[in-house]
Amino acid sequence: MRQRKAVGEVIAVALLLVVTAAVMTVVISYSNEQIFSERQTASEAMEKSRKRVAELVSLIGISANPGGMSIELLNYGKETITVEKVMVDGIVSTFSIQRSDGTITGAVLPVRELVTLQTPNTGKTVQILTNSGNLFDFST
Amino acid sequence: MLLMAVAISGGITVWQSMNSQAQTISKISKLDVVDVSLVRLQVDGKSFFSVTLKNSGTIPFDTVEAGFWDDANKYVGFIKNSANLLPGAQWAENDVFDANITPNQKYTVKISGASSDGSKFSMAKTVSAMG
Repeated sequence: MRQRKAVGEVIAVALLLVVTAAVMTVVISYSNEQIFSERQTASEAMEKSRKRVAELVSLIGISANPGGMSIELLNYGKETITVEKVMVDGIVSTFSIQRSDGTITGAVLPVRELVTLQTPNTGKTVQILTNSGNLFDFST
Repeated sequence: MLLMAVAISGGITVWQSMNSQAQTISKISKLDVVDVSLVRLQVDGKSFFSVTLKNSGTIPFDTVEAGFWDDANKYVGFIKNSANLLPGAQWAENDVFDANITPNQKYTVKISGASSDGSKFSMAKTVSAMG
């Protein structure tokens, strides 16, 4: 009796396996992408919120002078704060921050150091926006 | 041979169909709100509004918009045209607006965007004002 070679069946099984594997790959990568993306957004939001809570700034004093305003600040939190924007009465103003010895800190409020923020504009209120999105609104 | 030819051509057809379905399914226009805040300033009639959005979909956004309605029902916000916000990328904006808001009151923030293939996404979020 002549033996039958099951070539067709083998190819059919192979094709089925390839199609199944391809479909599974697409489905798994799609769901992974979704889960990962949502997790990442949530962790980014939490990190931003954590940074915001950790930012603690105290206003020591505000004084107006012919060159603008001097705002004495103390970062009494545990992390360095980077100032993104300074506004006087809601209007964006240029600024510089310096330590008590006169050295410029850039846009940074160092931890537990009294610094003076200088703006060329004067007004009734000063808003300081940090790069974590915290807004400190001080009134003169 | 005939059966094999039928199986192969059938497999190719199924594969093409599945591939096209998968590509359609994987086109998602979605924006996530990473952060949003609304603060009443001590200056009369001024409010600070900031928003950070993330493209959590799979296609770029051409236009993104975020805004809110103040106490006088006036809509204020940001609109960014030609944003080209790629999947995974973030867009952040902040500014002071002439808008009246009341601290601890809730406001509806509208988030919307239009993607490069013409599809649109929009959502609303309630935010409690600070100040």
